[in-house]
Amino acid sequence: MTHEEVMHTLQDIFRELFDDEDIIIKDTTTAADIDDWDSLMHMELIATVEAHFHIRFTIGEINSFANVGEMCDCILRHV
Amino acid sequence: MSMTSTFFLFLFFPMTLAGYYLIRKDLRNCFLVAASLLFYMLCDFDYILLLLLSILVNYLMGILIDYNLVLAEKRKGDPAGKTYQRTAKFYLVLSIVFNFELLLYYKYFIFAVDTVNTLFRLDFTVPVIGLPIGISFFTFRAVSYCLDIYWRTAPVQKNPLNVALYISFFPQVTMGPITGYKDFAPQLHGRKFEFDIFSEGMKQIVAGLFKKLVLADSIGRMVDYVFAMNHSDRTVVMAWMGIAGYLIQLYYDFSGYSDMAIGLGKLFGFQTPKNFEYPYAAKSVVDYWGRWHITLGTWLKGYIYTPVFRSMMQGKHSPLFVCDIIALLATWMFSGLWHGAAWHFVCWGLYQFAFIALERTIENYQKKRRKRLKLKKQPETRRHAVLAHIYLIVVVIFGQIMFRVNGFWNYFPYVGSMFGLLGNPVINNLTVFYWKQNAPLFIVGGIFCFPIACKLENFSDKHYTLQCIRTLIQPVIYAAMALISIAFVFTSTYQAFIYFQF
Repeated sequence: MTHEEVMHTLQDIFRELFDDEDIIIKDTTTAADIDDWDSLMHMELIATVEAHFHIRFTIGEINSFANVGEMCDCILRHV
Repeated sequence: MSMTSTFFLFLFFPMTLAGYYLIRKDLRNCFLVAASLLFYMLCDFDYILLLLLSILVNYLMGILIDYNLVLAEKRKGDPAGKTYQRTAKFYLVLSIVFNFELLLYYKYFIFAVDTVNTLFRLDFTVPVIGLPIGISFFTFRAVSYCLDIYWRTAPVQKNPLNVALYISFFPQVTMGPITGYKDFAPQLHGRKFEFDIFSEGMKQIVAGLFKKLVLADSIGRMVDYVFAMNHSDRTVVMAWMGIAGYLIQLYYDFSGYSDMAIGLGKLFGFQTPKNFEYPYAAKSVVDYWGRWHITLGTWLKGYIYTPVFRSMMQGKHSPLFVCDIIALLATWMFSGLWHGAAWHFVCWGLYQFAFIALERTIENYQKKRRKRLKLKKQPETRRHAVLAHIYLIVVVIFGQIMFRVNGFWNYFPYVGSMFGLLGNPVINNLTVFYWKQNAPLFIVGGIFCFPIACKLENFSDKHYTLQCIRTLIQPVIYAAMALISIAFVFTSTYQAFIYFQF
């Protein structure tokens, strides 16, 4: 899988989860850029991404994501 | 020694700063460790050995955790690898037990004995144990060090001086901000002098001093008086003035200290995350806690909320919403107890949890409803924003009374006095006198609790003339603030920072 493919899949997940078809995510997107991205949504996002890619993040990884790009890189390391 | 004392401001701080820039670059961390330990000794000489013990034990635990993780990585896939992984986990648990053991003993032992005596009508002798300054803060930093090594989010430090600098860094050792190790570690080496950052740091120190000495301490005298009164003697207006004054005092006291700590860090090349973002401008309790003591919130989220949430998720297939509520309950119980070893702090934590859980439930319901009916989220109306803000202020007022009253049983009488339920008068001459004396502080302090200055700055950025005027006026304002603060340093009676007790 490439970075772009993962980002494309993540975009669909974000749109479904945040119930907003207009969301466009970039590597630099953070929780501050998206409405409703609180700690519960963050954990929901983690659970959805894990289920979709059949992976499991460590707590350290969850705590270290500074933006969507870093999450994408972490997914690529796991798959 | 306080950061607003003459000794600190006119001797310790300038000498440390001068020494730091005069000394060879490779010795600067070593110099900062020596300055930090000296600072702690001057603050609390009795417990310097405890701080050194914490540094030593966490340094060794970090080495042992890292050593076993490296071996586990090398032997990945075979049984020995799993043994090394388990050993690393064992040392992590040991370090956490050690750190919280210190906190439990020094902060909660008296509370525990007292509670057992009260509950079971026993007569165990209540031990006399002093509270080491900053124990809640340096313990959290120490826990962050070991967890970040275990989670591989930051590298281990082979040099004990670097661990000592992280745990005991003098601007942050007594009252935070609680910078996570993963954010501090990259700054241990390669810090450079940058004039813009240096002057920004200086401005923050001046602003912090002004907030603490001129605003917080001045209004604090009235607050102390109101809260020390007999409940029935306090007029209704006085009771409201007391809690409103306390909200202003608490904000300027702690955000003033945070500004000074962050500013001091910048002078030595350290970037520290901000600790306050106009909390009283929030529109929900969740929003408020994202703006108040932000570094504690980040610590609790990373090291309590997320691990509890993950452990709830594992294998039990609990709905995420339930996991969230349980993780929030654990986090807020912990936060309440962290703030103080007393039942009213536990109640304060549960009070915050109750409103956060309520907001989460409503939001969850609305989200599901929108999804079911295929509705779009409506933008916030002005009326909704005002109502949300009033709700937040009411919740904060009744929550912070719990924080301020001396003991749980004083909460309800104070609230009663706010509504005249104790037969207390609405207003009297003394109330008018105190209002006249403190009105400027209420007005100025109240206005600048909100992002007015920020908005004015943004507005002036768009107009060239205003930008020029600002450039000319700003140094004058900071110079005036510095002079007034210095006058207060010499004339005012000493009042410790409120968060010093935690």
